[in-house]
Amino acid sequence: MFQPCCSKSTMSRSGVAVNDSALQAFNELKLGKKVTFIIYKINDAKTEIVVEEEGTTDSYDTFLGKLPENDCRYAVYDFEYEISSGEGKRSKLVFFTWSPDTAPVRSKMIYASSKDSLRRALTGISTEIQGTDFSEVAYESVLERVSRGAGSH
Amino acid sequence: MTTTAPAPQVYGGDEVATLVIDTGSSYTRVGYAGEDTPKLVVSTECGLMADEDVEMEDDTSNTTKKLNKYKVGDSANLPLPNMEVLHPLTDGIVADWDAVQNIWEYSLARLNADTKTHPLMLTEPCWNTQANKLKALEIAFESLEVPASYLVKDAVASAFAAGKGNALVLDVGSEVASVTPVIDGLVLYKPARRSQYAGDYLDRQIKKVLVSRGIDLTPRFEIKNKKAVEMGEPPVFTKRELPNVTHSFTDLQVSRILSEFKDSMCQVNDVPLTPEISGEAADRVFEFPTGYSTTFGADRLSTSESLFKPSEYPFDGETVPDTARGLSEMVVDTINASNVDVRAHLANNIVITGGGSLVQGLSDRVSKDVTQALSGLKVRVAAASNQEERRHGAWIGGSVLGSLGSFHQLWVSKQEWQEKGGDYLVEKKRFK
Repeated sequence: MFQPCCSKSTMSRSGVAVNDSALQAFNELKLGKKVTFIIYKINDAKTEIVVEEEGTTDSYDTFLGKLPENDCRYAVYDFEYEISSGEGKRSKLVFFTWSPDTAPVRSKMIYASSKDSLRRALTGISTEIQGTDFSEVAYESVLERVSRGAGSH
Repeated sequence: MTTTAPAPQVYGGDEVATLVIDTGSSYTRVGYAGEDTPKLVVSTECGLMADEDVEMEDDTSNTTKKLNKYKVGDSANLPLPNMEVLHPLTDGIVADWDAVQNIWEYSLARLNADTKTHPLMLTEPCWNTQANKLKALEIAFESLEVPASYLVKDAVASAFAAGKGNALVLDVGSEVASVTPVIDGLVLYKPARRSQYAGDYLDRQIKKVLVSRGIDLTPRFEIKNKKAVEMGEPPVFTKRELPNVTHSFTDLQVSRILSEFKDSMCQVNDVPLTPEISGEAADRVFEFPTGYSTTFGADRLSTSESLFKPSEYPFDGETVPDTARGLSEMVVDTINASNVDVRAHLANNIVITGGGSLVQGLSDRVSKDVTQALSGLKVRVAAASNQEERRHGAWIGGSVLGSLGSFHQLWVSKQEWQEKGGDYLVEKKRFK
């Protein structure tokens, strides 16, 4: 008997699901300050999204260095920045879909078609970045996007 | 959202490969999911034999009659007497299902595929009609008897293949050029645009120029022999005597010359051509099947320019409607017609695909035009540099989706088809 395992509304366009640990890691990042970035990947069996790495880094560029040059990933980064008027720091949760032009089509396809299930599960993201090369995810580009959002000034 | 348990029963798994068919106006691509390129690319323009010929061959069953009547694949390229060439698609969607079914059956037979065991993934344009979806599924389940099937939107497949869930897909095909916004993997229908100013239209523009230069477009099949002549010299050749070859067949063969010209000669200027700016194109030599060869320079640019300004390149005796839009204008229109919130996403993620987009310089021009028209938005164009990826973009997208074990949860099974009926599936459920 054929039965779809879950309704369309909770499943990504590809049917890839989100592992529980992916959400736990996100909640840790949101609540505490121990974790400042999470990199997600799709497991080798291409069935679910799992945490590849989570940790703390004070430099945004260190985080960028963890994104593979020729493959896709998702990532969440707790983006902290100084606001221009000198009123102190703000921090925003930024969601990245990293899909470099040089990645295999297969990989690009799976990540693009599976993104919505992860993205929808993560509440509290302020900005979403779709990156196909390092210039699109560079600090300045992200800063520009983040500071454009509501309540950032 | 929590981890989902595996479906009680999923189709395909890893052992049974999914079949993927992408039916385009000029080519149909057929192959197995998970592979990089289609196993088989056949011309969608197929031959139809006149009835009297069929009766002679036909003494067994109805199926042989049907198969004999249609000439698909290589035999559609033979100058058979009284064979009319059909164009089964109109406006990018199937108009002649009998012919398309024959093409599918022919291709699947060539692949030796037992359709009863393979799920079938089909691509469709986003302006496909409900009746057409229903018919496609009906053929899949009732005639091919596949265990499961799915219809995927070609624009979504192309966006995903470029690694984007948010994109503006400009697909330049042979019959239709379309611009489709895709947000989070879903098509936004209202702002989507399409026009006939695509590959076939460019072929006609080329023909207009070649004919005005008095060039003989006798196709290869009609030529018995020819002598080598110097460039620019009149051709020396003799014609074959072929009885009852139809006009539609000759037209198709002439269009092959035009396509070759398009692929090797046409070039889009980097800025719009005006009376002041005529652009610069180096002379290139083209040899016609008759043996005649000559150089083309400015014509290489002016023909391609018609894709961007159709109103300035009317055909004799035809008026171009006011609503006619060039490729860049369509892109700009679609972005402006989309919700303010998504405009930046769309402009920043323009994906160009389709065989017609391979005209040299086309993507750079779109990028420039759109940047100029939409100041304030960051415009970024992505186009696969690999020709095969562009020609078969939608097929490749279907191939990857169909190969995902996880995707099999989304299939519509034969049982579901039988229990719930096609109307329900098409109108209420997955394929709306």
